[in-house]
Amino acid sequence: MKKILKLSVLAVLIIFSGCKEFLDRQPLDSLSSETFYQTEAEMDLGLNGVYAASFWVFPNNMPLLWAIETTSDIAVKRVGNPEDLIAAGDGGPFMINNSLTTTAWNQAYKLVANSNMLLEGMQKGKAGASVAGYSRIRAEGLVLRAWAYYHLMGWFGDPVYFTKPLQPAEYESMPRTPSATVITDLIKDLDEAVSLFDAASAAPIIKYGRVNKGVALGLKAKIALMAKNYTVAAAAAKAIIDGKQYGLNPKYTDLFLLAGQRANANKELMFVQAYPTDVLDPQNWLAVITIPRQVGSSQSSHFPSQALVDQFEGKDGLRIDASTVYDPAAPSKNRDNRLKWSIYMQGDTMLHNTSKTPSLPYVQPREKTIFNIYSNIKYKFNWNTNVFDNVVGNIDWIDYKNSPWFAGATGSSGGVGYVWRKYIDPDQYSWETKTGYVLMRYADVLLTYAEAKIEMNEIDASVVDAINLVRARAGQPAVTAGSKSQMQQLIKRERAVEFASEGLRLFDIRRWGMVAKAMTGPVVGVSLKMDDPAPTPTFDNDNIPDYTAGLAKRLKTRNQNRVNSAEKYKLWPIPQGEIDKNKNLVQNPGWN
Amino acid sequence: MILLFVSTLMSAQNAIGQINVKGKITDGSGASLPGVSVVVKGTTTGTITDTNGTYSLSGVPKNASLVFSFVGMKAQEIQVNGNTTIDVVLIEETIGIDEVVVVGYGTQKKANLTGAVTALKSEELTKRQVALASNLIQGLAPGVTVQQQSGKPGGDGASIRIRGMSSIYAGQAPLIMVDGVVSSLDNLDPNSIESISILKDAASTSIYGSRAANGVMLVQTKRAKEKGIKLSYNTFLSKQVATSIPGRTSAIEHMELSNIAEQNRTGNPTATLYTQALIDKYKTTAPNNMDVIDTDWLGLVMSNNGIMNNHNVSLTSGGEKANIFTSLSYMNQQGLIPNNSYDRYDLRINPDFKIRKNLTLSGVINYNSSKTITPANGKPEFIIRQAIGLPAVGGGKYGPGMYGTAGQTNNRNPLAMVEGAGTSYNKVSTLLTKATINYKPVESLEIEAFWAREQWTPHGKTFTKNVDIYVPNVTNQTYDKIGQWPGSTSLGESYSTNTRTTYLAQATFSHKIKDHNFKLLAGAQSEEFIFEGISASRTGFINPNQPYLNLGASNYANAGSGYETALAGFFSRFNYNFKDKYLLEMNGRYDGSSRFSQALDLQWGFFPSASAGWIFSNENFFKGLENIISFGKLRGSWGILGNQSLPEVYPFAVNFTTGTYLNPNNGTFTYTDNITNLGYQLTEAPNPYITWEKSKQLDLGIDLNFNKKINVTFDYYVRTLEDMLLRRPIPSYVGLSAPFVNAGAMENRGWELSLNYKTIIRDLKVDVTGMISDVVNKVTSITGLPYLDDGSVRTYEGEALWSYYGYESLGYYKDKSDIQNSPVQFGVPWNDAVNVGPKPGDIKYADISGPDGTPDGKVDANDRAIIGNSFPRYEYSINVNLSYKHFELNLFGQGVGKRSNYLSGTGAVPFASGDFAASLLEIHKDYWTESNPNAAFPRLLPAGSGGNNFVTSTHWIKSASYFRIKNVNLAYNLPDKWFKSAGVNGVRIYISGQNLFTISKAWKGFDPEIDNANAEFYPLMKTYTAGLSVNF
Repeated sequence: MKKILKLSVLAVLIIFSGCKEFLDRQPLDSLSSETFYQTEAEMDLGLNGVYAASFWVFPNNMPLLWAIETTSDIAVKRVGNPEDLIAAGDGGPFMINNSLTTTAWNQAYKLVANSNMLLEGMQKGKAGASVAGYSRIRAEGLVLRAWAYYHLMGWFGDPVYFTKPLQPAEYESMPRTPSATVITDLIKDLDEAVSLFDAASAAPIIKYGRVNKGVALGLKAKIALMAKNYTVAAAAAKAIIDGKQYGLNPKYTDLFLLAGQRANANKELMFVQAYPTDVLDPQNWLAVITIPRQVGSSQSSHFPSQALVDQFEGKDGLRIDASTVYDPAAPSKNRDNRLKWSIYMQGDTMLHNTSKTPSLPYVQPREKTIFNIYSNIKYKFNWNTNVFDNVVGNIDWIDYKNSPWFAGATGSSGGVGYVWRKYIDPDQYSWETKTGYVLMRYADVLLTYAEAKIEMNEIDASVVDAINLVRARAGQPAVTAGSKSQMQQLIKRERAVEFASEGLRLFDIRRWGMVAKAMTGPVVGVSLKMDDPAPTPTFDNDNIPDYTAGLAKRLKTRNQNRVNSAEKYKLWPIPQGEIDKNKNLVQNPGWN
Repeated sequence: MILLFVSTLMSAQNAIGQINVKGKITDGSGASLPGVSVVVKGTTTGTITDTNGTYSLSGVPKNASLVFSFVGMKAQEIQVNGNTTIDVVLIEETIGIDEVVVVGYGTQKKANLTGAVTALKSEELTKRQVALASNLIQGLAPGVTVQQQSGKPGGDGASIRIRGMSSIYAGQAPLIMVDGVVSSLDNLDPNSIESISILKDAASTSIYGSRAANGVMLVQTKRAKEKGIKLSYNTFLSKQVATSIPGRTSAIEHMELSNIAEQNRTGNPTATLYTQALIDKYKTTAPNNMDVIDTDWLGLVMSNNGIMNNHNVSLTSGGEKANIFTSLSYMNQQGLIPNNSYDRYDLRINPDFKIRKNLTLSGVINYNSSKTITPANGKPEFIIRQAIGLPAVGGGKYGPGMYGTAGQTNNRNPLAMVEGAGTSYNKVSTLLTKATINYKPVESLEIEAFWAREQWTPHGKTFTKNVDIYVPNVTNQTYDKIGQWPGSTSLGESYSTNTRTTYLAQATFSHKIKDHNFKLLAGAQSEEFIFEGISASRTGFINPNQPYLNLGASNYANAGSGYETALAGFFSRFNYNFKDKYLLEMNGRYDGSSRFSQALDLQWGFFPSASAGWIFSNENFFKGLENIISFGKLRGSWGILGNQSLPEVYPFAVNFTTGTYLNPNNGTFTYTDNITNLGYQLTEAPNPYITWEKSKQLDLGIDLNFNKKINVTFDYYVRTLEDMLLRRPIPSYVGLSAPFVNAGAMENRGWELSLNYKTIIRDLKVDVTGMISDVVNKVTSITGLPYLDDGSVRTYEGEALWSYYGYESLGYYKDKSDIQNSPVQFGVPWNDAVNVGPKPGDIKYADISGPDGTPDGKVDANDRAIIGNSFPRYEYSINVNLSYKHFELNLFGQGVGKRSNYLSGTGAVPFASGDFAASLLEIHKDYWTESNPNAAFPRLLPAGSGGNNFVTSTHWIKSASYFRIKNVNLAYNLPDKWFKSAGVNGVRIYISGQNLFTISKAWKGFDPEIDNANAEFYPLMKTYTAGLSVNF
């Protein structure tokens, strides 16, 4: 009996010791943090993860910055739920939990967290990496983190600022840091990045979709401009210009087509949110969300506004109220070429690719349609007969009433009679488009330089040259140096038309202090009747059109007026959930 | 020659020793008993008593024994001893007293149980004809909530919750052991179930340690027990139709009501969306699918036949040394929509071999193969919601392969989705093998060990195809093809291997000293689970009939993953029984799980329990009362249980992972130069300190039997859950998703009562069971969090888990002055503008609070409160079994006394926008107008214009209490003599119906059993079945 007892005790002990190993299970398909970042290859994999965190999207495969354009005056969004309305700048009680602002907050901080993880974690593997490799990876990490904070400050003001991975004890106690302090740090980081890129001999262009020395300098210029530190902004932009590594793509439209982006003539594209062509996901559905509903498979919900259309000068280089070639009855004629490159207007022939397979007579698989909002007719190109057929049933029609809550390019809750042309690539199936979303290009550097210099009132030839370089590509006449206020007005107009739908507008109008003005009042659109054009609007010093005179003759698409005159709209509210979880976070003024 | 001699001798002996025996069988009251089986022991010779209870048997050996048996009576064995008349009084079985039930790692006499256990036998379970076995349990065990949420073929299993909700984020499903191995009820062919034991309290379950917190169900499959060969064939055929589905509005109603909505929105009484001329045309012209379109989406989409058929052959073979049970089943279930079905093959071989008198080898071999088919594009539930919601004016189908746009600009047509846009299937093959050795070296010691391995290999394949979309061309009276939907073809395929290996060794030692009975069980068990999977996809398939990856032109993608878990445990039980009066039991399990940190030594936990019982009816002072209270037992138990089924496999580990892009969540990859580049991210904040959820449970119970006819069981329990996992939200700026922490506590208090009455009145046998139970859930702690938020539901301390959170509705605003005199709602007072602020017919909410907790004359976010929850209360059932001569009737009704259900989305909102342009449902026609002030729905408005009418409020919470006739089964046992010559022993035919009749106050068209009332569901089925079983 005793023997049996002893044996069983022994057996139990053996089983126990076996159990310890038996229960030791570690993750099979992931990498442990203990061992990660030991080699340069691993640092690159971690850096890729940081880039992934910089891939900012809004639901329905929209580039986030593009979706955010509708929170400015130059774009409108189809009315959906109240939150969308507010995101579109219509004011209201629910904005604190608005999905657009919350998405922006979350995605930017995901980029911060991943950059911090890389920058902190890679230090332990420094010995295992080459100097060039280590320098380049650190530089890219620094630029990407600055990219996140730049946007956070632009959207929300003072950020929750940290440069190391947070410890659990810090999760719920982080305060906001004054933007001025953050900007000082970021400029230091970007200077370091510039020197690291040099140390890695990596300048200036690395790869399509990656940041580089140019982006580091460009971002520095943009951050300084936001901080109204014009000296630094001008110097950083000048450094890029003087480096002569970049230029303007001779063909503006190529910038927004996949093939043109890859060719990147004269290296205008500096930083792009790139999409994969070797796998299906993700896709860029910008086209899907843009193509009007008189074309096949489309989900149009984001539209350019009249306020944008009227920024485009006449061919004579003058604003439409001064232009001698502008005709309110034929508004698409004799305009800055960028208008037709950016926006489809009544009577324009559109080419879209909304199908993978032909479905004749109208889908070839491309569809050719004459943009029409003034009748219930869709002008569809018949590929069998090579003529345009008149097809009844156009829900983009201005008088289309069957379903006002489900609107097209016009209608009481849809667009205002315009649709985007920019980024429409008839060579790619719209639902699988892989065109990159441009995040930084050389034209922005040029105009940033010009703006900084104008603000310093150093309006020299280099300023005029920078502006005219951009205008010349669009075929607009050269300008000559004028007064500071004339030049300010010019630069505002020039940025609006050059970068429309590129996600820069919100920061521009905030920097120029014109949010309240630009985002208040009715949202108007095309003339209600083609043969009874609304009068040309008047403009104020900031180039903001005033439609009061012809209001009755215009499509007024929304039920509500935009009401963003309150001080609080200068910044977005911090998502309420963040405030709830952290008592140290103070909400932006006016949003409590 | 010798052979001839022997046979002559035998027949001679027969002639000498055989007699005729007759007699009459009665019950205790003297009533004759027909249908009693009389068999010569050890032979197949036998008969059945006639309607007068008499029998006669010829050729009975003088020295033989006769066995008399009858359902519900104690079988009797009587020596013939040459008697030619043997009358027998059969005594009713006192229900359950001698019954042996399966408990954790053993069996126990039911009378001596000290825990709360419900035992179900196959006879009770096979009254209902269902595809998935989880549905069989509903209403049969008090305290066990069985909710079927869908009628989708292959997906119509029920969720089972024992004694309420036991966790917030970890698993809530009970541990289900089939023949001692972790499994799922829905993997099981219902034909092969022998018994199910449901262990509810801590004393019964704690021997399962870290997985016992949600209760345990022990399923035994059938094995061959009797000698000889028995072959049986069972089949049934069911027709399924939806229990309820929301009614539609016609094209004319859609247009007229849209106009009214538009008039309400604009304030212009002549505003129209559809011209009167068009409406008049619809009224005077029959639908022609050209310019007058009235599509009956539901009728078109739900066009499948819903037929289910089932075949089962089982062979039981018993002998001296080897017993084998074999069962082969096939079932096929068709859904209500095309391209939607489930079928399953199941082969089971359960052999037992007696190697020596004290050594048995037994095994299980079970091969199960199922295939579920669904449309490739869109879940069936979403397709059905579209069919419920889409306007009738949208074009459906104009001819073979010619689909309409459904009135949607994206051309998404639910009919095309079910019929033409491809098929998805999921095939699962499962092989379970188990070998058990049982050795009894001495009478008092039993040693058992087994090894079992279950491997299942799901294979999914989804092939999306294009359909052609047409629009009517009124001028030519033809249809023009305008495009294809969805626009691209794709194939996604995935394979995975899941392997679970279990080892067990245990020993049971029994000992008796005078009146003291001891039993000691000790054992060890280990379990390992390994998952490995791959998936791949491509797009651009030219031929719509060749779904093979090689033929895809573009977008090659693939992925692979793997994980493993392990569990080990040591368990023991001690039973003590004194004179069958005083019972004591102690259980304990020391359990280890790989899900917790080894480095921090958090893997092991100890889970003890104790229980005691007192059979007071066996006391001397009870003598003489046997006829009133024939059995009485008080029992109580307490114990600690664990729950290790975390949603994550390695919650303690800090890991950089990879992940592909999912709209709208970016993955960890980047796309430099348009090429996918692998990237790694740390995505979740780890918590190495994560450990078990713990549950403590107290149970007090009483079992009574009155007059040997009425059984009563009552239990009261308190379950306390501690260290519950919470995904405690952290600020988003941390950049990581929140880790799990052990921080929550919750409590379930409940009681269960079951009553059973059995009697025989002449030829009529009656067996009635009624049950009622209740449980109240309360979250007692969510440390450090104000509440947990999940949209319309929230979890607060002191309230039930996931309670509805919203406003209190006061009905509708009557008129302008009502609005002016009521608290300002959502910051917008009365405004003469038509589309600003509330208007008469909008919902008025109560001002119950303000920022400081007192009403502030404003209705805003501060006025939200807990307004109900969806927990079922007072679940009850009644089960009546009647048998009269050859007929048997089962009536089974089940209900819930109190429950709330929240209506939203397509269900609540007329013209609901969102993912498609919806019409309105029949129920929405009861909308507010001045002449209909008590309408069910507020004033009619277009979607998106409903203002604040559709925020979560009591207005949209409706009682989902119900009583439902779950099952009616009428069977007829054909007289044996009809088939005797054909070698058939018994033939039974039956008809049955399920969910035939429901009493409910729920929204019309919404089944009260289903939770989700946004009209996205797959309806439950009303079924009509005819079946046959034949025994050879």
